[in-house]
Amino acid sequence: MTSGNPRIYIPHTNGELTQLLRRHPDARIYAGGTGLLYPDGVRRLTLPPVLIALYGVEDLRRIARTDQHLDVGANATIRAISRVAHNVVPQLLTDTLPHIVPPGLRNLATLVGNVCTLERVMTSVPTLIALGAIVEIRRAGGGRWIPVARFHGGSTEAPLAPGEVVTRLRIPLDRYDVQLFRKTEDTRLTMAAIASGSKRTIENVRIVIGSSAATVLRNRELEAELAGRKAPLGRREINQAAERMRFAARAADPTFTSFDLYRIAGFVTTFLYRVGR
Amino acid sequence: MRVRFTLNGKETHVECDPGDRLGFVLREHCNVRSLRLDCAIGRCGSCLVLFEGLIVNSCIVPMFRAVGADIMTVEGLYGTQSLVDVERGFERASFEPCQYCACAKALLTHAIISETAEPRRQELAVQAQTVRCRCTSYRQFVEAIELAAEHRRANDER
Amino acid sequence: MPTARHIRGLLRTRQLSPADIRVDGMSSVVVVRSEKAHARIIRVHPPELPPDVRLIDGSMLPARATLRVYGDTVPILAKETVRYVGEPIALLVGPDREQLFALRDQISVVYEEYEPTFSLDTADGSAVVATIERVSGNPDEAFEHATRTLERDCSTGIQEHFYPESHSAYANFRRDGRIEVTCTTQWPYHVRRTVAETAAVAAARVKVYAVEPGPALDGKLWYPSLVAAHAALASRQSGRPCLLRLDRSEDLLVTPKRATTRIRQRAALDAEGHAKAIDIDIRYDAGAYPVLTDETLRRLMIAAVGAYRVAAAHVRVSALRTNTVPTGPMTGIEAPAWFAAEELAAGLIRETQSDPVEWKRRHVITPEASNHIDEQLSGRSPVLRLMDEAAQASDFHRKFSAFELQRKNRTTALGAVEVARGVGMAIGSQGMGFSGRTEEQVAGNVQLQLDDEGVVWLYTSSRPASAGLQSYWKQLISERLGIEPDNVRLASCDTDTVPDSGPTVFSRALSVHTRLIEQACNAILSRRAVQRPPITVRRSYRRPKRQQWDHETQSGTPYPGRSWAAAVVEVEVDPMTFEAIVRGVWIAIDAGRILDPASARQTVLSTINHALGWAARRQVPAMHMSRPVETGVGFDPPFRYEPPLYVGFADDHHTEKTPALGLGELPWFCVPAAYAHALAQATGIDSISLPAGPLPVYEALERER
Repeated sequence: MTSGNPRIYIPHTNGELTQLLRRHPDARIYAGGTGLLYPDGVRRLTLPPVLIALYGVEDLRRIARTDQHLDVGANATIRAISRVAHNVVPQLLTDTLPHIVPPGLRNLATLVGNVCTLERVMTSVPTLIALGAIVEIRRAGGGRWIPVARFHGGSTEAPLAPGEVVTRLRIPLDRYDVQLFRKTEDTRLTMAAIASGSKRTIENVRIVIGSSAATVLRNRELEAELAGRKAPLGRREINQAAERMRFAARAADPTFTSFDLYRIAGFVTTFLYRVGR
Repeated sequence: MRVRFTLNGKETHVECDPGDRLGFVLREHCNVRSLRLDCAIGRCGSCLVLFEGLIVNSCIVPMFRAVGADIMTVEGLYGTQSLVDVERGFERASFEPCQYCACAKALLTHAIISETAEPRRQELAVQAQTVRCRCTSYRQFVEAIELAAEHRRANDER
Repeated sequence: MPTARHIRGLLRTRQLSPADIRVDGMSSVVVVRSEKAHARIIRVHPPELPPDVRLIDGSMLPARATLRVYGDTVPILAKETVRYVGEPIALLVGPDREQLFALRDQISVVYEEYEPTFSLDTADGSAVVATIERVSGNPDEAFEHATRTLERDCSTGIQEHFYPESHSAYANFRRDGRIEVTCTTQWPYHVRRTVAETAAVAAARVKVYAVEPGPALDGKLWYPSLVAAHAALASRQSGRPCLLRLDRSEDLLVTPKRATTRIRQRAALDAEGHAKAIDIDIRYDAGAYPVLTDETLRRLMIAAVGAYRVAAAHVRVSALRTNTVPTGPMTGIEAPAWFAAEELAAGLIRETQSDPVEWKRRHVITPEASNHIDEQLSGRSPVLRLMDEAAQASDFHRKFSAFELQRKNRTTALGAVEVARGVGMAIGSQGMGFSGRTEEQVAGNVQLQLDDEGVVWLYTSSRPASAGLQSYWKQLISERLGIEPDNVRLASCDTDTVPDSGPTVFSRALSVHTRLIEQACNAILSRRAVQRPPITVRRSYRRPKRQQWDHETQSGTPYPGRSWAAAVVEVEVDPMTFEAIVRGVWIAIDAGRILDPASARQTVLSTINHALGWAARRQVPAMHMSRPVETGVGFDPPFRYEPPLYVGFADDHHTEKTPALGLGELPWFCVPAAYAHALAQATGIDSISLPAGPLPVYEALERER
C-alpha cells in the first residue's frame, strides 16, 4: 500500500472515467475515501499507486427518483441519501443509513463504496440485497447491470472485471408490510428482512444475514416455502423457520458462534412474528 | 505538490504531499488552531471543518482532494451573526463544552442549523455524536443545537 | 452558568498544546517499547544511528530515578525486566520524528521470556502486592451459626479513559541547569518532582507549565510525569529542547486503564434470609506497576458494603500485580465496590422476597446505625429522601410491579419476540478528597493576593475539569471581597508561580480548594482593615476536628464530607440481539449547597454517560493490545437515542453556610448498579457482572437455563 509518488486522475465525465480505467485497469477508485486510505501516522494517509477519483464527475453525485426506484450515483454520500430518503425509500433503508458509518463520516462515505468493499460484508449490503437493489457497471464501450447480491454471493468470480467501475446503484421503491433491520453492537451481524403479501397471504419474504467474516446468508428454499402461507404464522411455523435459518447459518459459516446463531434465530423469529400482526 | 484552496474566504496555497491529511496541513501550515488531530481515524471529531459547506473530519481527507476546495473553520465565523446564534444557543442551554472540543461543537452546530431550520431531535441525536468529547452529554448538546436553531430562526424572521 | 461572553471567549482562546510547541533546534523523542509482556532484556541491538540521533536507555538514568506515587514506584525506563507490552525500554532522540519511527522499527531486542499473567483468574497468591482488611463485629461466629449462606461472585471490566488529547510533553534543559517542562497534567508538582529526580537536579530548578487537562478523568494524573520525565531525560542527554508526543494509537496501547476487579461475597443468613454477617473479598488488577495502591485499597474497602449497615463484616481488598498496562486510578475508582455491594443487596432482597425499596429503606445507614467502619454521619442521612425523590420522578414503584408481572407471565424464553423491560434503583455516595488521614499528607495549598491596583490573584495548581468551578472561584472571591469580577484573576499555572495544591482528583478542587479559597478571602478581609495592599495570604488544608480516622483499625470517618445520590435506571432488552437500551435515568443528589446548578447538571449528565458506558459496553482488552485498538470502543453510552435524564438536587434544606460537596464521581457509584438491577429484572438473570453487554446476558441465560 505504500506509495512513493501516487498517480491521481480526476475525470470529469463518465467517458473519461472509463477511458482512464481502460488505460489503468489496476487503479483504485476513490469515492468517499473512507475505506481506501490507510493511516500512516498522524501526518498522512497512504495512497495506492494509481488512483482515480470520482468527485469530478458531476453525474456520479446525482440521486434521481422515479416512481419505481431511487438511482444513487457512485459518488453520492450517505448524508446526501439520508436527506432525500426520509419518507421516500423503504423504511428498511432509512433504518440502515445511520448505522453505516459514524456521523462524522457521512458527508464523505458513499453507499456504492459500502457495497463495493469486499473484504467484509458492509452494513448496507443485507438491506440492499433484501430490497433487490442492482448496480450499474461500466467499462469503455459498454455497461451492464447486476444485483448487489452478486458482490457478496459467495462466488469466487470477482464481480468487476479489470477496467470496470460501478457507477450507479438502483434501489426499487417497492412497498412492504414488514421491514426489519438489526446491526449487532459487536458489529458481527447485520440482518435485514422484508415481507409483503395480500389478503393475509404471504407473497414475498427475503431474509438476509451478513456477517463480519464476509458471508452473506440467504435461505431461498425457506423463503420460497414461506411465500403462499397464511399470515400470521403460527408459533410452531415460526420456530421451525428460525431453526432452519440457524442450521443454514451454521452450515454456511463455521465462524458463527452459538450466540451469533441464537441472534440469527431471534431475528428471524421476531420478524416472522410481526408478519400479519 | 502545490495545493491551492480557499480557507475562510481567503485564497491559500501550500506545498505538501498528496496524501497529507487536510487537518494536519491546516494546523501545521495554515496555523488553524481551532482543530486538532486526535484519533486520526475519523471518529473523535476534533478535526471538523466545513468542506464545500459540509461537515467532515479533516483527518481523513487527503490533500489532493482539497485542490480548489472551499474550506471553513470556526475562525472563518468570527464576527458573524452565525456564530452569535451558536453562542446564544449554548448560553441558553447552559452548555459549556471544554476548551478541547468547544470549536468543533460550535462549527457542527453552525453547520446543522444552516442546513435545517428546524432539525429533528432524532436526527440531532445521531449528529451530536460527531464530536465525542466526554465533557458534556450528547443530550445537552442536542438541547444547545435546538436553541441555537431557534435563535437563528428568530433572527431570520426579523 | 456560562454567559455568551464566556462562550465567545472559549471559541477564541487557543489552548496551548505541548504538541504544538516548535522551537529552533528542537528534537523529537520516540519511545522504544517492550514487545513482551514479561521478560528479561538480554540485549538491545540498535541499527547504525545517524550522528544527530541518540539512543538513551535505562543505564543513563541516575541510580535512584523513579516515578513515585505515595509509596508506589514505576520505572522511568526498564533496566532489566519488562512487565508489560509497551513498557518503555529506551528513547530515540533526533531532529526528524518520521526518521526516528523508521529507526525504532529496526531496533531488535533479545529477551528471555517469562510466563505472563493477564487476568485475575490466573494470578496466584504471589501476585498480591498489598491487602487491606477490616473486621467489624464477629463475622466468624455469625457464619458458624448461620442457617445457610448466600454466595455471590461478580466482576467488573477494564475501561479506557479517552481524554481529549493524547499525552505529550516538552522539556528544555537549559544551559543554566534549569529545566522547563510543558505538559497537560492534573498534578503539576508531581511532574516537577519526577523530572527533578530523572534529571538529577533540585526540584526548585524545574519549572513545570501545566496545561489544563479538561475532562481527563484521572488519565492525566500520574502518567504525564512519566512522559515529561522522558522528554526531560532526552533534553538532558541531547542538550536540545525535546518534544515527546504519543499518537492516539500509541496512547491507547500503553497508558493506564480502569482496573478489572473480581469480587466474591458470602452472607450468613438466618432462617428468614436476613444477613447476620457478610464476608467480602475484592481483588483488583493493578497492572504491571500498582499506583496509588493504598488509597485505592482503602476506598474500595470503605465502599465494599455500600450504604448499608450490617452487624458483622469481614472485608478484604487486594491489589494484584499482573502483566497488563498499569491500570489505575481512574475517576470513580471505587465504583466496582459500590456495584458489588448493590449486587449483594439484590441477592439478599431476593432471599427475603422483599420489595427492593423497602429493603433498602430498612437497611440503609443512619447517624444512629453506622456502617462497617463505624463512620459517624453528621446530621440526618439524606438517603431516604433521595430514594423517594428518584422513585417519584421515575414512577419506580408502578414500573417495578408492572415489569415483575411481565417477567413472571412471560410465556416464551427471552430472545423470542417479546421486548423485556426492567427498572432498578441503587444508592451511592462520594467521599471528598483523599481518604483517612492521607489528605493531611497531600499538599493542599492555595494563595490569594490583593495587589496595590485592587486586583486579586488566585494562585493554585489545581485545575478542575469543570470550567464552571473556576468561574465560581472568581465569583466567590469577587463577592466576598467586594471586587469587580474582572479584577479577579487566576495566576498562570506554573510551579514557579503557584503553590502546590496537590493533585486535582477526588473532587478536591471543590471540596478542599474551594474551602481554602473561602478561608483566604476571610483572612484578606480582616487584614485589609489594618494593612495596605499588597496582601498575600496562603491557606493549607487542615483536617476538620470531627473527622477522626484510626489507621490501625481502619475505622472512623474517612472523609471530611460525603455527597449522596439515588439513581433509577430503566432498560429495555432487544429480544433479537440482547442489547439493552437505556430508556431513562433519574438521579436525585444531595451534594450540599449547589454552587451552579447548570454546571452541576452538566457534570452529572456527562458522568452518567461515562458510567453507563462502563456498565454496558465491551471495553478495550488491554492485555492483548499488540495492535492499535479502534478509538472510541467502549466509549459510546448504550443509547439508541438519548433517553429521559432527570437530575434533581435536594439542596433546599441547605443554607449559605452549608459546604458544597463534589458530585463529579457520584453517578459512578449508583448508576451502573441501577442499570444492573434493571437488566436483572428484564432478563431474570440472578447475578450480573459488568460490562453487562449482550454476550454476557446470553451466557448467563444459557447457564441458568
